[in-house]
Amino acid sequence: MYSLRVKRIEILEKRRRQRILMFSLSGGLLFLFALYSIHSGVVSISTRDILEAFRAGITGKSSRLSTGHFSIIWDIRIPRVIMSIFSGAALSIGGVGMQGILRNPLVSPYTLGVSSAAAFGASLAIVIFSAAVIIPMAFLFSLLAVSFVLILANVKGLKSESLILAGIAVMYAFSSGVSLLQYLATKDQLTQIVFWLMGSLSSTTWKQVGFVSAVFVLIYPVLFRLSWHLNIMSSGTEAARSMGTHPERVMTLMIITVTLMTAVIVSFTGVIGFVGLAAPHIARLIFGSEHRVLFPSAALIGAVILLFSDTVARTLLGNTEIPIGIISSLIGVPFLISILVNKQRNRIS
Amino acid sequence: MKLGFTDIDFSYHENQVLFSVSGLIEPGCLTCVMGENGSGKSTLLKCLSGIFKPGRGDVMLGGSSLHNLGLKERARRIAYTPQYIKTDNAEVVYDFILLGRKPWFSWKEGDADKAAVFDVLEKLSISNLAFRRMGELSGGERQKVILARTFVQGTGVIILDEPTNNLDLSFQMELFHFLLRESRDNGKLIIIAVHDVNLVLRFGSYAILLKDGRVVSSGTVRETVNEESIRKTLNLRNRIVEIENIQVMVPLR
Repeated sequence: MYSLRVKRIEILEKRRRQRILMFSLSGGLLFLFALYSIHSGVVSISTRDILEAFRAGITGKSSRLSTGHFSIIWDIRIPRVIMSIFSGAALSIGGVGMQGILRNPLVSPYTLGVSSAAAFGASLAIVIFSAAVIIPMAFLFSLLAVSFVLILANVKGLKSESLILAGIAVMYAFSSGVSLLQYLATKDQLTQIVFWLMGSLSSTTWKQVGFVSAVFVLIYPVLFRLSWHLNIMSSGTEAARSMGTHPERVMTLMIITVTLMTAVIVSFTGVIGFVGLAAPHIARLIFGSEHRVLFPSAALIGAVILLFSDTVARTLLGNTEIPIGIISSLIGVPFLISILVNKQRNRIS
Repeated sequence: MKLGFTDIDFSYHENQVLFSVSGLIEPGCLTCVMGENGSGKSTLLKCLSGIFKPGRGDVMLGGSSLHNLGLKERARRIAYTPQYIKTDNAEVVYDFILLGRKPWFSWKEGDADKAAVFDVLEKLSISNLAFRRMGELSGGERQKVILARTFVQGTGVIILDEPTNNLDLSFQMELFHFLLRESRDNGKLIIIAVHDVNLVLRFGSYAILLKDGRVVSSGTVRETVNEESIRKTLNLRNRIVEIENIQVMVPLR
């Protein structure tokens, strides 16, 4: 009896070690992939130059690289790569969190209207004010939208269905607002709006990288801590309450944190679709539905998807850039469909 | 700790389902709540476990009102399992049961929590299921795993809503023997909603008979559950006979 118990605890330990190994390996792959991404582009750059630029950039000392070369690496490529990693990771953990509280596989961090509200704010900035206020306007409107959804849903109690419906209502309202602005816009403004809507990392600055990574680093532990409660809530709200979990509190905290994080990212990058929906599903398929594993694995997968998409977006057509939203959706769709097919197969067997 | 409740009323919006329900349940008691579908059994159990707050009346656990306890404090004293539990087919049994320990830790499970999971698995003789996935279990195994999570919570009060639904007879017997041991030998206060009168006659120590949200009678099973009270509660003509010292209820036409 005793030795059996020891064996079972060993199985748990082994599982933990396997997970750690898996995460370190994926983290290592992500790093290599990031190096490759910095290296590729219109101007090809050697690994030595990357390291040199990194050293010079961090220490602020002069480097042997020419100013132009240094600038391509340090001011353009590196921030862009870091931005794609952090926004991919953040949108994905946001997706895990929202799917976790709303118990609905179709939910993404955008479901409560964050993205369409941000799009409206950005369009409004482009058409009426100036492109300089796109970021604050997008941010402001996405927060506005979610407060509205929270108030609307609270009137009828925080239920998954009412939240989703309220989110969709808000989404439609802002989408028609965006359409109206597009209709009123001049040709130049229209181009700007359309480009913003498809999302892009092309104008990433170090400052934005700082913001997004700080938000991610602050919010990740909050979501990770909620993973116990999300696991418990998957048994239903009444069972959750009997195990000491307050479903409404978890929902509110989750919505507020995920929305804040998503709003920051969307304001900088525009609407990058699908990664927040697809990465959680891919992670679930590979690592199972336990949220303590799901959060880190979805973060890694989302980071890889966006890094890959952005690299393709800026290298595929040589000098012209394809908006990243198009690529990430193109990559995400076949993934998601293969998961659905797999799920169907599982159900039969 | 005793669980007492006095003059509980409960309504869903306009629709009142419990009318002035009272009772006092002692530790070491296997208490059975009986009644037709819609008689208010589930609602009563939810009030007693603190999931619902009664519109009138109060539920007291060992001298303090249930609603003055924080959610976590309550979860350390009362475990409740509803009639239907959603489970995730991909979830591993061990992980599922471990969730029952959540009221006892905040960031990470400790060795004591792991041990508690393995203890309860052994107690229910389902150690072999520890690393299986929920989707691979049979109905009876799944029910045992859910029961394991309820018991791993380590509470003095355990409330189960129809735990024997859809289960074969031998499993029902096994389950009730287990509940009887836990209440009689380990002093747990167990309350279950149950339809099968014969299980109540054989294993129950205390019974609450509900009809249309009102208590028809309550007290020890010996005193309360008889032909007359069953006829009233369940709308059923019946006879109770004895076979090998076991009381059995037979429905008549």
